[in-house]
Amino acid sequence: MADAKAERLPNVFSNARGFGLPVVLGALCLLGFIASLVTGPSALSVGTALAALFVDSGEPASVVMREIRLPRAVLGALVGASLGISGAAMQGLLRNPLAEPGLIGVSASAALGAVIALQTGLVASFALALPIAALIGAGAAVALLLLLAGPRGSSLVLILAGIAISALAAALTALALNLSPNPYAASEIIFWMMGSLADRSWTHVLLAGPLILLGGALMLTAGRGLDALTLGEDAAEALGVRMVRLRLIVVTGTALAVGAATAVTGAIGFVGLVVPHILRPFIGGQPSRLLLASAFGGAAMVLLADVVSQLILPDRDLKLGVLTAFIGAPVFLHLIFRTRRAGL
Amino acid sequence: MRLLSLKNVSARRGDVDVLRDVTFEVGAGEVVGLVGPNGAGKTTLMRAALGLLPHSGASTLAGLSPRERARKAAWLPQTREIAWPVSVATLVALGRTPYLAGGRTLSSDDERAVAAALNHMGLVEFADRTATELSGGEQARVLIARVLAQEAPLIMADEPVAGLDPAHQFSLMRVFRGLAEAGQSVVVSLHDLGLAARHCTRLILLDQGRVVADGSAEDVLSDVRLSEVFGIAGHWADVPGGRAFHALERQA
Repeated sequence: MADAKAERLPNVFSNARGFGLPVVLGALCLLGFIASLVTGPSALSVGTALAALFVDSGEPASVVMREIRLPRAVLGALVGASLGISGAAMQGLLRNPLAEPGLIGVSASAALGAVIALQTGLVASFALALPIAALIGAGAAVALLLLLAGPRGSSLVLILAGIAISALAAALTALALNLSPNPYAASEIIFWMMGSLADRSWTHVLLAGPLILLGGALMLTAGRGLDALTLGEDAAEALGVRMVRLRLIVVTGTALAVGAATAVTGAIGFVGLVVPHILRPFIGGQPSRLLLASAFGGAAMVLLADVVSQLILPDRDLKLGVLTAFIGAPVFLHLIFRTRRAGL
Repeated sequence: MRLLSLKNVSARRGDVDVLRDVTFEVGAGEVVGLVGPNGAGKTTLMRAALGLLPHSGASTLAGLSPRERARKAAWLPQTREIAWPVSVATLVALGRTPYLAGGRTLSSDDERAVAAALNHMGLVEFADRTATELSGGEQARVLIARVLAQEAPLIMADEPVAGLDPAHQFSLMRVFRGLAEAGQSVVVSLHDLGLAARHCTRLILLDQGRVVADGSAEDVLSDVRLSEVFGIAGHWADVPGGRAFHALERQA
């Protein structure tokens, strides 16, 4: 098909739209990270805080920076990135802009695991019982999901299985709350489920970090297949995409990343749904290009939301998950107005 | 050269036989029109031939690895899905997926194939437009360009002219003929028997999952078959440049 006319064609791949976005996202992440480091209940000036980070003086400031604020910022970036990239991957797989990582039941099941650890008092005897129980919950959810949907299950079956697992996990969580031994345990469960980065340590980072990175790396390998899925499952399969493998990669990647994130921070909603939504118009819709961008966008959003949650009500421990939920509503209102203006 | 060979291909959907012992071959340089009433099994036949559907019997394509198969045969499904607001060039470049192993990005050869495909479908000036914002007919042409960009020896297209205006229907069929003259082959399902008769080099008539006729348009679209399979009549007329077929209502 190489004819002379085609040789003279202009370059059909002008990528003007994507230019500058990586810079903006990188800058936002850096801003969020630094803001997170210089924010906190201890009154440290920006200069003291950053100096204490690099020089271990043995002073309380050093301890605050190295053992409290730095792990919190790192965890915020990791958790945000995991939610962002999982949201983008899930939306790509299901070809639905309203899909979110929680759809496959991983978040609800991780929460159930954590609630069981709180309910049974395991937490009191062993500090890491909570995140580990949450991870087990997430793992059980994926196993059940793959069992229910089967290796050849279509996306619809996958969604239905995810909804069934989420519903079951939510019901069991409600039951645990209902039967909680005392009001203290119940409020503990409720506060944990709201999602927060407060009081997290390097142990949490080490527990969740590797799983988040592994899940993220898995999802990044799915880019080409997700791009082909733009044409539908049949066409993608005919283009050489192995659908069974692609589904497995995205589901496992999401389970690892979001399961680990939920295990250490609780449920932080809307990030996985909203971030790919906001970035899509700037990226040009291509799912593979949305993956990494959503990771950075998610990290920036969680870091900045965490800073804001500490600034607006410094002495009331405003939960991060509550704040991100507040971000979700206006974004959807904006979408509604945009869709109505477009006359759709 | 043989591009596709099917031997006794059968398929079931639930308890219903949707394909029964289909056997035929497609050589290089053919435009094969698959015709038949609704539910005759045209789509099922193409999907089974590509190995996208469980079936019994043998297809030369079904045994290949997905990527190998995608280099030998391109598939244009009837459902025209464009899930995301990507640019036309990006969408057409998806046709190059079978050639991009690992993390390889588009080479100059890939970009040449995309540009040539856009050129074939008269879409060069659309390259930067967002595919989902185009009209239905324009989107259909973009999706055809995607299939052309795949540069597979065999193209299978399910009702590709649906939704196209007459000029674009003719021009698409001419594109198919041009590909066939260059040695590629096209298997295309069509409901417009006149278009099929005029532009295909060969017709295969399917009815209830069986091949009931395979040959030239004048042989396949005989009065008896038109009556038995479609419940219609037909009329051949001499027109400038050849003979034209018109489907007609059967007179009582």
